[in-house]
Amino acid sequence: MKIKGMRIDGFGIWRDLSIESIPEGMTVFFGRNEAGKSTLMQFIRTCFFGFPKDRREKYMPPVYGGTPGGRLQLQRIEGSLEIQRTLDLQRPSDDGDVIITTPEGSASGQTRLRAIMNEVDEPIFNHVFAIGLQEIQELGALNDTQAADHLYRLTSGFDRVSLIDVLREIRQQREKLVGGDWFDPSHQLGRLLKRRKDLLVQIDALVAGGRRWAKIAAHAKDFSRQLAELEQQLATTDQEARQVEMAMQIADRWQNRCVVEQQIAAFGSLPDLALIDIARLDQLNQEALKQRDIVNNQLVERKHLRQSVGSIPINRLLWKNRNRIEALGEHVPWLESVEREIAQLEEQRQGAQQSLKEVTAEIQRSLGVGNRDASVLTQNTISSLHGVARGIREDRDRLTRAETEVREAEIEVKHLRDTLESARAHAGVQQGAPSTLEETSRLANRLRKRTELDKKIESLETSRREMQRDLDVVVENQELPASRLLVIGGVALAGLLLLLFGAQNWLSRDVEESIRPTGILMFVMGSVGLLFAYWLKQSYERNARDELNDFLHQIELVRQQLKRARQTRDELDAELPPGVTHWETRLKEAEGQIGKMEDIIPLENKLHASRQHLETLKLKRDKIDGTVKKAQRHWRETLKGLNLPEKLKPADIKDLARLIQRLETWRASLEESSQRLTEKQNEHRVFCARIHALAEETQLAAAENNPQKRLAELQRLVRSQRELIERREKLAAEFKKLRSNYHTQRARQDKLQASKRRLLSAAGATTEEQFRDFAHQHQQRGKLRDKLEVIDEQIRAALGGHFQWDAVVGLVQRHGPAGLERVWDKLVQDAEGLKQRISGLTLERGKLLQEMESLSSNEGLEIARLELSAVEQQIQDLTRTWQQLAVVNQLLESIREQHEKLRQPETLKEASKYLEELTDGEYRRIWTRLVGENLFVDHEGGQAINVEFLSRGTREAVFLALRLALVSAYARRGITLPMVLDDVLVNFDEERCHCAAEVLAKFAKTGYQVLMFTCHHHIHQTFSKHGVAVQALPHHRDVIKTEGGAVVIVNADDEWDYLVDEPLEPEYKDDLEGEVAPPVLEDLVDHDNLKSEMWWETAYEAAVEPRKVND
Amino acid sequence: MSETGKTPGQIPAGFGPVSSSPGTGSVVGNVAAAGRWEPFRFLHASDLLLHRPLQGVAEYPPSWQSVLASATYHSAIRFFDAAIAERVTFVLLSGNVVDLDFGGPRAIAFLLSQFERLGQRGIEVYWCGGEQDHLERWPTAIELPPNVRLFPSTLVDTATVRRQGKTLATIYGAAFDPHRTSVKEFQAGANVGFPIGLTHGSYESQRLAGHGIRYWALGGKLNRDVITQPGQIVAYPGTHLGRDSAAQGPRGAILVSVEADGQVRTQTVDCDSVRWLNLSLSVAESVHIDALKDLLADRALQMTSKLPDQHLLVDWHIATTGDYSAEFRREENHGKLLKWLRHEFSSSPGLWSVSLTFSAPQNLPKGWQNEDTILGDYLREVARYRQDVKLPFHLAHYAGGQDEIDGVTRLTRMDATVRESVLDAALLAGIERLGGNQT
Repeated sequence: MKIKGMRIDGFGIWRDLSIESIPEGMTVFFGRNEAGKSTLMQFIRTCFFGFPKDRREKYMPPVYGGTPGGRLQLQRIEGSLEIQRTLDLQRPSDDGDVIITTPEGSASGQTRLRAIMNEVDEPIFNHVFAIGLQEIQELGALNDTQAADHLYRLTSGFDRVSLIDVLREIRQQREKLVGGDWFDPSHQLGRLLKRRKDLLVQIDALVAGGRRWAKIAAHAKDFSRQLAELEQQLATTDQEARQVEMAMQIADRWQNRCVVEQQIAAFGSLPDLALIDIARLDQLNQEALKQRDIVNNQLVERKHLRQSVGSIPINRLLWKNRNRIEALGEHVPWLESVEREIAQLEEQRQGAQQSLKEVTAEIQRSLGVGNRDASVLTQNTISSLHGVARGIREDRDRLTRAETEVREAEIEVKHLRDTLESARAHAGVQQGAPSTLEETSRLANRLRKRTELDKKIESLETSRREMQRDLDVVVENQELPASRLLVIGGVALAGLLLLLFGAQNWLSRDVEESIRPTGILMFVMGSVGLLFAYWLKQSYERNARDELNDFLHQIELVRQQLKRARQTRDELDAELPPGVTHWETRLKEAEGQIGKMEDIIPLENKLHASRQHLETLKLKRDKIDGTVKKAQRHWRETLKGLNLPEKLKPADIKDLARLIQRLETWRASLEESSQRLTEKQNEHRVFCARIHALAEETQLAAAENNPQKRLAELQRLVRSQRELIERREKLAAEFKKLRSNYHTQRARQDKLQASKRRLLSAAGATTEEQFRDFAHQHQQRGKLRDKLEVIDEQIRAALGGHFQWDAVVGLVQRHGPAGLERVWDKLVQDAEGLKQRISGLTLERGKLLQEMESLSSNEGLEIARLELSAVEQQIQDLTRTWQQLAVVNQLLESIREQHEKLRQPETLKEASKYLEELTDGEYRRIWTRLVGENLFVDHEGGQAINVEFLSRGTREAVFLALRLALVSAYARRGITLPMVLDDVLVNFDEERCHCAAEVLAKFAKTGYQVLMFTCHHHIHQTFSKHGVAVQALPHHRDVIKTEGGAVVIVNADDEWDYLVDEPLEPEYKDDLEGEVAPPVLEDLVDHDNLKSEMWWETAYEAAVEPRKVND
Repeated sequence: MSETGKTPGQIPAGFGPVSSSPGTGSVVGNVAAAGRWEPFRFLHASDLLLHRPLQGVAEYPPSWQSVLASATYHSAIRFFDAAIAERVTFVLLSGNVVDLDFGGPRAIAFLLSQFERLGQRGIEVYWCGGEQDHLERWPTAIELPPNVRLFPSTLVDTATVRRQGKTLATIYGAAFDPHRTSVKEFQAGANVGFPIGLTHGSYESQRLAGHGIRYWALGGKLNRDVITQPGQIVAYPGTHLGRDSAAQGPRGAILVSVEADGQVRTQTVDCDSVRWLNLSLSVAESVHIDALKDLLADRALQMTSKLPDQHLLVDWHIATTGDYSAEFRREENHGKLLKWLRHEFSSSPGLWSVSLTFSAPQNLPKGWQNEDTILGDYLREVARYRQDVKLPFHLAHYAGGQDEIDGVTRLTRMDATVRESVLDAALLAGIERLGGNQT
């Protein structure tokens, strides 16, 4: 893709600027500082990539007004197009609106632009296709090692970012987490592991505190036990002392009590006072007399009642059947209703028979079968016919709809066919061309690929030829050059001479002893010289062999690529139409054809779809037609199977069904009436037979034959018998009650006599007089006991609730009043001793408990464990982060290996070519070793020099060569975009600037568009000499004043004076333009010194020294 | 059928949430009449694990240190407070209360003081040992209060609970025995009041049926699980405190109420003083980081106002929809966001954001996968490792530490799940470093 022209409507300081007819190769835009070069470059980027925030803030709104944005005219293999990018200042959009238009007038948007740019975004464009002054200055500001490193990065994966930079950043992040020595505290893992170890030690110590706590607890427990025992002893002693004191107080009362007890004991044993009840004895005597009179009266009343019951008569046979007679009597109303129902059912049966005859006759008329039996027709038969008839009706309806749809589809197909014919005629599609868009697209793709393959093969052929030519040089280098041979020979000869001379002075007997050590020294030096010469020779030869092998490997790679490309081309030729030679012309035709066919394709697709739809509808209609015929056959077969006339129509089924339903209704009605009549007659007959049988069982004379009247007579007799029975039962109940009362009164009389006997015997008395004497003795003894109770109460009051009776009395009995006082004194002394021991132990135990409390309330263990948990979580998090970084690292290493294996050799080879031209053959090759990240360049003298030791100017040449090689690499991948250079040659001397101009001009001629911006007069002159188009930028105010914008193609030499005289523009200042280029450093390599063997050391020192001064 | 936390039931009078308790939750079990018993209540807990700290918190503010370090004790105090507030007859501890070798003096002193508190109110404690609390290691010098009854591991012992001479319940208890494979030794007799089985270990609920036990008080499970079956309840209270992000949500004990009509109701009692929460948000990739901040703040405020007395540990998870957004995926922003969350809500009590994770983007920009750049190469390489899980990572090469073979193995080990998540993270890290955020 190449830029043909541009128009800036409004962007920064530019308004209405038009630049047309920009050459396809290289163009130099020349303008003084602040002329608007950077603005122009930014405009190009904006058209491609939009308005990011920084650009919008810097260049918008336009200083001198105008519509924000502009247009770029582009030329591609497929044709020209225009990118228009505008920004709506009212709308906060990043990219602005973009429209891509073709000469044919078709317009598209952002997606198409991305495809045109081959998905290259702005970071890649900036890193690959644009080289700025700032980058050159940054390269110059780096130290030697950094600069060499920066250059190496360009060769080993470089687009949006540098792969090496990313890998280094990841390695640094990874090593911050985990170092080579895990326990090194300068890394995070080391710090965490150390902290973890410390915490584990701390936790162990705190857990051990638990065992100490248990020991203290054991001591405390022992003390508590002793204390409890002592307190128990003290309490016992106090209790004993109080008891002794109490015993001394009650001793006198106890003596009185003993005297009263002796008087009571003198009465001996008496019957229990509760058994001697005098009042009870008197009461029993009175009740026995009254009970005897009552029993005699009841015996007389019983005799009178038994005589009255025997006089009432009973008919037992009639009374036995009373329930059956009453039950039959309850059914008399039911019997009357049965008789009425029989009469009604007779009437209904006759009516149903008449209706049945009438319906049968009507069915026979409908079928036209005369007197044939119509009973064969049932509701089920009609239902089966009804289902078949409904199926026929539905199929007919579907057939009608399908025929309508087919007619409509045919009309639509015809309409579309006519439309397509007219569209094809209008588009001018030729006969014999590929008929579909897919075929045409496939052909275009093949043609495009074929064209690209030709270019690639040509490029590879050129590379192969050049490498073949270089091979001769490399092969020649296998032999040692004369200068080196001379040096090696000189060293060897000098060594040999020293060896021989030294041997002579050392071994000869004629020589003096004082000279012999000198001889030995010379012998040794000579040997070393010979060995050094041998090593030097081997070293030269090994380097040459390595170089040859590398070269052969690269040639082999190119040869294989060439072979694959040719093979692909042959395969592609076989797929293309024969006889085509001008691939690009044919490609344009195919692409034109695609454009035309894209409009017709929807119509063709629609027609095709309509035809397919019509065919589908026809098939559907035929299928439904077959279904209708099949259903009609099935109708006829069904009629035949049911023995019905075939002339019967499906429409007749509805009337016939109604008649059959009526026939079956009357049949059911007749059958039901007959059945119910028979049932009712049977019930009436059975009931009458039961009445006659009951009358015979009672053996009474029959006055009536009518069952109902006979039953009424029986009911009357039962009622009179019930009255007699009730009277007899009443008398029997009275007799029973009287008998029960008699037995009760008799038992009460016996019970009274037995009670009196038990009363006397319980007290041990045999007579009533002895019983009354026991009662008197009890009265005397009771009085003595009351006296004893009073004494006890007095003693208890003295004891209160605190002392036990037995214990205190025991003390009085054991010691007597005098002994009690001695015991009390001893107990008081014991209590004092116990109190002192308790006090000491309580103090000791308190100390232990305090220490236990201190240990148990310390939450240090929990805090340490929490912190340990946090540290372990941090280690886990660190592990996960480290794993992520290591995985990214491994994946990127893998990508880097692929880059260095597949792309780096090509890039270096390409860059070597550009470097040789840039340095006028002084440096011939850029290469790298398999291990390490160092770039080397081969000097024309054959020396391999690390880039680190090159001068600044040469490094910039290497940089430019590598960037050109990167652009070429992208071109090999099918991505060709304009290259934008911003004063990249400011540090080149005149000679090297001349070479660079030649290289860039040549580079542009191989198919790359290069746009270079410069503010240096000598640079644009140099390019002019090499036939490069130079355009001088006008002053922006002049452009604004020009009506309709300026078309600028200016001879830069004529314009120079005008530009120099023009004052600086105060209103608008471009940051980048304001930067002043650093002083141009001379190429510090002294060419004369190159001839010396140690020339690179001189060059290195020379390169370092001035920089130190500048610093 | 497990009905944990989802079956609302009838709560008898005086049995509802008690404000003085740490938080009484919903009724979780209800067994119909299977007999007639004296009414009583008891509280069941297990796995207090007093010696075990919180896990998975890499950083915490100084003001939270004591809270997090003593969280297990604070939660245990809430449990004992609940027993007193609910006036239960006894308390059941189904093992794993504390490892006596590692608990230190604080744990033993703490348990003694709490048991004595219960004893002063006439509340019995029945404690069977679990896998970690070997009760034979209880210091011989320190006597347990008389209201505490321990159960051996070698046989099933019984304890009868009485009130005013009437038998309320009989507890058939045995400590954890690794060789015990069945519960056939647990066999309830007749006229024993309400029969309870107390042990530690996980058993199939079907195997627990048919022993005459009405309530199986078990322990050893991380999460609360109450299984109601005809005639019996099998209950695992779970840990009383969520110790890591796997133990989300409220934690505590089970309050069991045996009614006179034979109804047995179980109810959860939340005891945890620190609670883990997993909060998720779903946002579009295109959302601005400030808008995401607002969403996070709303959610955090909602949680802190809902649980004002609770210390909350939160794992945030942001699920995204839509295509990859470079601005949204910037690692630096994620770090700042987590820092901001911690700064804003870390008052005590409050909400501490433990982690903030983002799900992988649903789609990457079209064309990246196919472009001929380092980024494209990288995406294809990641895809290759995703498709072929057997492709190895040779991370030991980067690990250093030659003398730390085990450590290197731990550092570089990745199972399938970790490999997937590491690849997800590596993908985003690679995109950011290879200029994906510049496009």
